[in-house]
Amino acid sequence: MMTEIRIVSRGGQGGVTGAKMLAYAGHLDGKFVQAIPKYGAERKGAPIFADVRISTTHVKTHAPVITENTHSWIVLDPSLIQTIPLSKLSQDTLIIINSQEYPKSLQNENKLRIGKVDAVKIARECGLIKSGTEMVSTVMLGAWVKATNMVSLESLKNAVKHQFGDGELTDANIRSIELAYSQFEFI
Amino acid sequence: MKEMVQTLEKPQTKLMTGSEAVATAAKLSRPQVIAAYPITPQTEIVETLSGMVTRGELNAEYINVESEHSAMGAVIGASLAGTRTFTATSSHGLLYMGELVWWAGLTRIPVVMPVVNRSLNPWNIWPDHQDAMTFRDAGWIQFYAKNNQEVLDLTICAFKIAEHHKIWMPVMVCLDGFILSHTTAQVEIPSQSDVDNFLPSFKPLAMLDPDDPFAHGSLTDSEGIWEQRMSLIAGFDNARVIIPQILTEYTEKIGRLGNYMVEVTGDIDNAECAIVALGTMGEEAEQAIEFLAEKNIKAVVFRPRVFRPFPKKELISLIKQVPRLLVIDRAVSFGNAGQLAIEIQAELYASKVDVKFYQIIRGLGGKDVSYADIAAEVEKVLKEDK
Repeated sequence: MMTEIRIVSRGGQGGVTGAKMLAYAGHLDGKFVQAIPKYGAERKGAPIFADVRISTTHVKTHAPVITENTHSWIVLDPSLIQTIPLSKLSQDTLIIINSQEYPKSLQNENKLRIGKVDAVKIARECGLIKSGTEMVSTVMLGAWVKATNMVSLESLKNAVKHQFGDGELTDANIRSIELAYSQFEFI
Repeated sequence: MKEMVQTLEKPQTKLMTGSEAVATAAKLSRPQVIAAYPITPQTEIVETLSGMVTRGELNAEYINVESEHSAMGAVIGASLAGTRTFTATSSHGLLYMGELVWWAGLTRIPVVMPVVNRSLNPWNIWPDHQDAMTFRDAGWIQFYAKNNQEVLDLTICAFKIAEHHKIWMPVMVCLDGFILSHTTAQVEIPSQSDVDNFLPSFKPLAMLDPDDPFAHGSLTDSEGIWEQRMSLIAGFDNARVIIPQILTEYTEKIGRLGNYMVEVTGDIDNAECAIVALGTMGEEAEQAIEFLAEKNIKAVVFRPRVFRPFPKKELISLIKQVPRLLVIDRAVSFGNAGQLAIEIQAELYASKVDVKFYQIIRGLGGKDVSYADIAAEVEKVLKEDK
């Protein structure tokens, strides 16, 4: 079985690094994984996406995730909801949004499962701000783990340690994951 | 069905990008001189290796150069001085290196060079095979890897193949830019002692020595060039035989790889159509045949992992067993067709093989090619040839 996840973000929010950490968490859980960043002329603030595959068998495909098959969309900036081809999504596709409120544009999407977490608030509480941008990717991963339980919380924390080493940054990211895990809610 | 099976439980299985897999393989192979110039999407390879040298993890001379042309010049000199050499490049870097790529090929310099496949002009950083295909005639062995694991395994094998005294020629290991170079996936890392056991230290066939002087690459008359070219042709004939032997040795001593020049995936006996593709499109096709099987369509994948020497015999013996053939190229010889298709067609005629032949070009400039796309092409072939 293969789960395909797309992380939608703006350059500087940590979406690509988040994809790597999520793949690493799957790796620690003993799954086959892949993290594919969409590279190009990316720059701070520009829309960007990164894909993650977590599978019980070796992953043979190398293409970006196919929209209809995507299990989850992790949206790091609510203004990017408009980039999701909603009409193509399959029944029960999960969308997790960094937002204080239930986005109006999704209020009639009955076939989707939608959840939110105020990741900006959590990132600020944890001091995860770099060059004026809240680093919300680990927050959003914590919310995704709460919503799906598809990788273990422990593995996600260990993936953060693997990415950032021991120190304050790791501690802050782990705290952000714990807060997101407790504050995430389905809408 | 052959599969490159990885064992996730082993602690030596690590998550890494294709670029890191190249750098790791290079480090394990103990090159003595590295000269390379950064270019997207190859940059992470040279960054990683220069870091390893700086931190003392890799005992190599790292020569900072001002261009790809100089990088190849430096490794040619270093190789002739009797050292194991390594460089890596991509796209325009490869073109700029071009004069010396031919020099290394025609004068038989056993350097190993991963080429992170990237499109050419106008500016485009995304993957296709146009860069490496441009040098398919340059006297280099060419491998095309399908995933990060194969990148690592083939890079280590490339040193042993390049340096075999009956081959003694440069080797390109091609990996699709971004699709492999920047994608993180699991790679099983062999131990240093296992690699040392497989790959002994560099033994020069001839080396420049002030105490025993000779000339290399100086002005040569027609007779000399003729003799040299014939010897290079013979070297490729040797390579055809020796490459599978070296892959066998790697598989026995280290694991996984398998000794085939053309990988076969699927049920050849019942296949309605065979798909031929290089690199990651080959593994994408493996996924496509599983997708087709759900629709009760039987297909098989023939993936040449080596393009030079061209595995003619292996391909022909396989193609003879199927009714239809779909060749997918990720590059094009403008004015004709995809290079893989052209070369297979020539062999089909020479060997009088009767097969329905279809060719398509996909993925130029990094245009995505998914298993669903490939499956749709197979269905189209079957519809056209009822």
